[in-house]
Amino acid sequence: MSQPIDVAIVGVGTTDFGSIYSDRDPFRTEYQLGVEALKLALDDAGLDKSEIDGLLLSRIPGYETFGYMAGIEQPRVVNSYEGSGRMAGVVLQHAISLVQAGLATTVACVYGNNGRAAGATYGGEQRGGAYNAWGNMAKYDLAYGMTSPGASVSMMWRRYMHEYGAPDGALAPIALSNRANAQKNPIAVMRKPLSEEEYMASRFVSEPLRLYDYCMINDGGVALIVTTAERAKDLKKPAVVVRATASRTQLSPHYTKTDLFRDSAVDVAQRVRAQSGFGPDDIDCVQIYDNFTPIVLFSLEHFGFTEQGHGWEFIQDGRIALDGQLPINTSGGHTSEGYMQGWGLEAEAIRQVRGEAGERQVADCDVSQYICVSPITSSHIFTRA
Amino acid sequence: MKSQHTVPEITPLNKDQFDGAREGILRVQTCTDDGGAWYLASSNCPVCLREDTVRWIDASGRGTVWSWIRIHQPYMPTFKDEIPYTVAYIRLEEGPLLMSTLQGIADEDVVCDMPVEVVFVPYGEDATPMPEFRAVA
Ligand SMILES: [Zn+2]
Repeated sequence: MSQPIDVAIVGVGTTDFGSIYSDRDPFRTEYQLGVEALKLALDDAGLDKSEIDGLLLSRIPGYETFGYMAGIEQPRVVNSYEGSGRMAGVVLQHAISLVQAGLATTVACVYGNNGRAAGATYGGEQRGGAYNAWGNMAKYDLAYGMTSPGASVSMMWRRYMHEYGAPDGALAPIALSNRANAQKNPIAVMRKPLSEEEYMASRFVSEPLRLYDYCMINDGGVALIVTTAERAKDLKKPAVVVRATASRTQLSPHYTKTDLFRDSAVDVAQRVRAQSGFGPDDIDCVQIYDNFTPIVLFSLEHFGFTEQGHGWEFIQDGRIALDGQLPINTSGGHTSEGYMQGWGLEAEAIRQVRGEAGERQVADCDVSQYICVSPITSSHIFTRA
Repeated sequence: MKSQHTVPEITPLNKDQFDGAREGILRVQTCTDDGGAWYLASSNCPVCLREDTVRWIDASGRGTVWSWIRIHQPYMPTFKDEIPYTVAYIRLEEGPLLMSTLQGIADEDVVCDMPVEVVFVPYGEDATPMPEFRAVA
């Protein structure tokens, strides 16, 4: 093998989640939303789609259909990944690897989600994503009405409360901070202010988790374009580089892990730190996969932003606000911007280091990090080239 | 109505487990070579990958509540009348973890790590015996 080729991210596209939410269209497909996001990312980069020779899709099952619709009919590399949130980090890693290895030069990573229009619930007999593969084994859980990833995280949250003495309501600062950030994001779905009283009064979904601890269900698309550092030089936007990326999995029959994903997350944290030279004190903002709010605490602790068992105290007193010690989920996260299953958070991490996050821009943001703690834990560290 | 609940299909792979359950015995799989224990039936041992060393053994039926939740969302129509209902993640004495529910324990009395023991309850149209757990007397 020759030396790996230097890689940069040059295009970011996100559909207008808010307007798509208010204009619900049952005929709008994930393919359409993916094409729209791709077009935005191409315009953002100043690239013509004839240059795309790699196409990696997630939650868009038919790559031939998509290639036909996008008019990208002969890419060198194509693949379609399942539509689960853990794939956001994986797809970007694979795109980088393809370019580094010279198997493709310019890879478009495209995500499209029409789950709301299609009536997705992320629970019940048909769960989708990684869960379909369990077959008869899933029925051992369905017998007890145990179906949703939220319920699995709720199980871990109860255990965390037991082990570390976190009180009911300890997660509120995450939901409130996400909402405050979304108010500064013109494409966010949920922009109405949220008070602690409203948070506490909201209904339980899987007790001890409340409605506002849950990601929302909304439709949209996100696209990211990766190419060589060489090609990035004369494109429209400042190139962003992934200074480190790593992943580690925990594969078992339940999303609930008794170590709250610590084993895999600590390994990923150490590797991205060693690879980039950037530790928790160097990160200017962090975008944390928040399918459910407890995951933010697990992430903060396992990645060394705070001590084990103290994440619930760390998030208090404005520490995670836009002007706080560690701004988190600056676009509003999955509970307020929209649930693009990690893709929107990756887009935000890139925009923050580009300095183009508008009203929600973190001051002097040189280093951003994406963290997804899940059965496939992944993390990337971004800076400008 | 538990007669409406989804249940696992009984196949040659897991039949011994349900035969045991009908007699009130909780069974787990083990490997005669390396001695691990797991709950969900597999055709091979996850350590040595052999099939001929896999056996069903009688477990003690005792364990502890690792954690538990109350589901309020009607994800499944067959649970509509039971909302909110309890799901518990049980760690068996032999090590394996399984999802189940609790029987005869008031919400305010459930605590993580409390000792529990198995009791089988008929689930689904064919009265498949499924494990539930109650406080150790
Ligand atoms: Zn073995």
